[in-house]
Amino acid sequence: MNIQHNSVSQVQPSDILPHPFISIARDFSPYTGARYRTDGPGSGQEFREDILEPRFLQASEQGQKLRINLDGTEGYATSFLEEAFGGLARTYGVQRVLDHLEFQSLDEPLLTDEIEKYIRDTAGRK
Amino acid sequence: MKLKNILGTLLGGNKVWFYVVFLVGLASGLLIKQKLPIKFKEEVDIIPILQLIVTLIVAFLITHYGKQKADEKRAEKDLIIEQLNDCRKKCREVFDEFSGCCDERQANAEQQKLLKQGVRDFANHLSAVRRLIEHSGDSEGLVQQWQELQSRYFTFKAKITDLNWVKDFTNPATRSAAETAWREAEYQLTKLIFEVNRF
Repeated sequence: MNIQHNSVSQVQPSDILPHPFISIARDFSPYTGARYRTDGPGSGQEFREDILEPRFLQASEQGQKLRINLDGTEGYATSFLEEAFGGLARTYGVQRVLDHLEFQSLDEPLLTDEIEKYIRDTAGRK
Repeated sequence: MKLKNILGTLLGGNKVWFYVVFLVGLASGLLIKQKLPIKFKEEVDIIPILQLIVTLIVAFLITHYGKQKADEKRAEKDLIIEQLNDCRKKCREVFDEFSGCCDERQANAEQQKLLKQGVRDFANHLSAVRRLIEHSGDSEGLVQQWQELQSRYFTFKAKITDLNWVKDFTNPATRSAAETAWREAEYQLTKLIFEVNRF
């Protein structure tokens, strides 16, 4: 049996630290809204600026992936998702966002594909 | 006993017709024996009889297992088509709800919730279709068609939910854009059903 041991120098910070995590329903709102703050409460802009961006930067600086749990809300409008995650990619670049975000959804598994599409689409629009 | 032989298939599994055809065949045989000068050999040759028995067994096995495999494939197809029909139904419901909002020129909180839940249900039916397609094996063409459907779904969802819930319902173009997206999704659903029937 071949067992591999990592030496101390091979261990990355991301191997030790727990993954940073956001649950949109718990940390933001189970009733997500539309695109901009002016559209009403629970907007994509509000989520990005108040919750997502600071934690994304922290995770990115520590070389970790920020896990985002999408379950527990009443559903997402395209405008919310595009503004939150597409907006982040417009500021920090597609690759950096894809490298440091990870999505989880049991309620609606297709959301992961959808969000990745919005992130990638920003590359063409920038 | 089930009528799994060729005659049973031809007669649509109808037992009454099976017995009618059997009796007609028997009567014809007796008639031919009486009227035509046919003579059978008295001694029995074992080799042709064994050949006949082996041929019948092979024919039975091919028919039985071939039919079983065809039945399994059909059941898989029916399951995918059922899910696709659920997708179509959900897509229609969401569009009808949206159309109602256009008539009222607004979407209140309850209607917004219904629309978001509707597109979520649509998405989950699509995910179920994807899993079934992957499970069904030789399905590269189906996966491509499914990806096209997913793309139409994203467009449809955007036309339904990428809106200012207050201002945009006063714009007539909102409904027509959603209707176009709905029709495109419906068309792709139909194409996928045809593709499922073909594979």
